[in-house]
Order: sequence, then C-alpha cells, then structure tokens
Amino acid sequence: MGELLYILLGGVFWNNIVLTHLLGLTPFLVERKSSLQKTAGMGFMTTILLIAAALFTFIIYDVILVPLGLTYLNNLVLILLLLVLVIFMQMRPQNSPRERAWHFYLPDVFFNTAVFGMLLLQVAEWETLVEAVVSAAGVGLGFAILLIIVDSINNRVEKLPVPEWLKGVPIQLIILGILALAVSGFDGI
Amino acid sequence: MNLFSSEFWQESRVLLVLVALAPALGGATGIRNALWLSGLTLLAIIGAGLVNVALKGVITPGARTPFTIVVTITLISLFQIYLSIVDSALLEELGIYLPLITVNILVLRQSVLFEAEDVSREFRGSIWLGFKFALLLIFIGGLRELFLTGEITGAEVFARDISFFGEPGGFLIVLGALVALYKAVFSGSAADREVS
Repeated sequence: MGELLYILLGGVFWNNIVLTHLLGLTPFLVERKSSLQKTAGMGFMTTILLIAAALFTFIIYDVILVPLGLTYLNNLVLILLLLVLVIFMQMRPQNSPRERAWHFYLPDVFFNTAVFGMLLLQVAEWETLVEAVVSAAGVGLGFAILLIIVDSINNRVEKLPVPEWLKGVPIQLIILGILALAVSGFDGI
Repeated sequence: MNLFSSEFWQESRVLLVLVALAPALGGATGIRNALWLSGLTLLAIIGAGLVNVALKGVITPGARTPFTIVVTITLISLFQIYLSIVDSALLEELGIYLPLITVNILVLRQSVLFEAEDVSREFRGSIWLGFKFALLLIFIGGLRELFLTGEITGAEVFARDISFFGEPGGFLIVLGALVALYKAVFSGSAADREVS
C-alpha cells in the first residue's frame, strides 16, 4: 500500500512527467483563454485516457508481446491502442453537456505527448496491473494539477500590470520552471 | 476521425512551430540529439506528405490521420531496429523522443493538408515549416548543451557550472525568457500577432 502511495505521489510531484521529462507541454505552449472548468475537464480527460491506456497496455504487453517475444512491436501497438481508445471514446453519444465536453477534449488529449510518452517510459517497468493503474493515475493527476495551477496563476496575472510581452506563453513557461524547481525539492523523500 | 476540429487547434494553428517543439524539447539535450530529432522529423513530414499525396482519393479523409500515424510509427520502428544494430548508444540517447515524432503536430498535419487545390504549395509550405522547426530545435539543443556541459561541440565556453539552466526546471525559465524576448523585439509586427 505504501509503495503504491509512493508511486502515486511520485507521479504528481517528483516524477511529474511535464516537469521532469518536458512531456505534455503542448497546452502550455499556446495561449489559452479557457475557464478553470474547461481546464479541469481537459486534465480529467487526460487522466481517464491515461488510466484506460495503462490498463490495456499492461495486459497486451505482459500477456501477448513479452511471452511471444514481440516487444519490438511495442511502439506500433501502443499508438494503435491509443487510437482505438480515442475513436471508441469519440463514438460515445453526446446527449448531455458533460458528454459533449468529453468529445470536445479528445483530440487535444490524444495529441498530448504526456499520454504516449508515459506509456513509452513506463510500460516495461510495471510489475502488476494495480501498479500500472496507480502510476497512470499519478501521471494524470500531476498533469491535471499543473494545468489548473498554471491557468489559475495566469488568470491572476492578466489582471496585474504585467508587460504585454511577458503575458501568455512566456509567463506560463516561467511559472512551470519555478514549479519544476519547487517539486524537485521532494526528490529523495 | 477529425482530430483538428476543436477550438483549441484552430486557435493554435499560427503557433505550429512552437507547438511542434513539445514532443522533441525533452530529447534535445545537445546539438547531436537535436540534429537527429529535427532531421528525422523533417523526413517524417516529407514521408507522411508524399504518402498522403500519393494515396489521395484512395483513403477516405476520416481514415487519413490513423493511416499517417501507422505509416510514421512503422518507419520509426524500423529506424529504431536499424539504430539498435549500428549505434545503440544513440538509440539510448534519443530514447522515447524518437517514437514521439509520430505525434508531432507537423507530421500529423500532413493528413489534413492535401484537401486544398494547390497541393504543391501546401507541400512546400509544410517542408518550410519543418525546416524552421529543425533550426529552432538545433538552436535549443545547442543552448542546452552549452548550459549542461559549458561546451559547444567540444569547445569550452563557460568554465563555471551553469548546468541548472539546462535542467528541465531552469530550461523552462530560459525558454519563457526567450519567448518573452521574441515578443518584445517583434512587438507590433506580424510576429507579435502570431504569438499573442
């Protein structure tokens, strides 16, 4: 239990995929004027996709690829799995606003390198299915929390007399850098 | 499957080169890595473009993006197998950033680009974007190499340890400062309208 908690918190803080591997930076490299609710929705979608992808990846990798000695097909299988998941999620009915929001964020979530990057980084390291799911949840939560923090700070910065050239992408990247330094303090706990 | 339909991508299309950096930024820790990553991305852009032009009318628009992804990842996997035989050290250096070329926006963009009348113009345009991306990535790779080692291709520039600025946290601050500088210098010009 303690080990799983360590993996979960590691994904959120000291092993945060954005701050340690510079993956999933896409939403931070564009100026977004979205509400906190939209940002949280995107973070939530990414976490759900990460967990689903980790679940299926673990099964496919450990049950099919490793026993049959087909690990060289890893990249192809992972990207196909992500594609299938995104297409499957897009096929869901869009009756309620929540379902429409799910549909809206899917393409952006698929482009997010944090998803494919996490699978490539960790697939060979997972020992159990629970570990894979917890690890993916940690990475997703870390990404979502970072997205919300940066957006919240950015919304406050917009109301302050900050030079025009520093607003948007530059300030987002600088905030990320400071956050990366802050979470690096957790390393080794 | 229309991956480019959402408001997010409509807004960010003018910032394609900056967005395209996202999958490669972590891997560009030196000029050598940056050269390989940018060169391979440029090749992937050209390859994906040629395949999409050649198969225009054969593959339905909805299936074009998955098709482009499968073709690109297959080519990259073959290149990985080749590298594992001839230069496994380089393969280890490039690591996960090699397969991530597949989800580079400039490569994926090839699947929706050739609906236009003037295919040749679109193709030249995407190669030019790829070239700009390559130059930017090589510059970033050089900068990180300088910060991390104090050297550029073996020639010592800084005697002091400034590796902090090459680490992810420090480099994000440097990158933010560079984008701010770009905005400040080109304030009021077309470039400013692109970034803001």
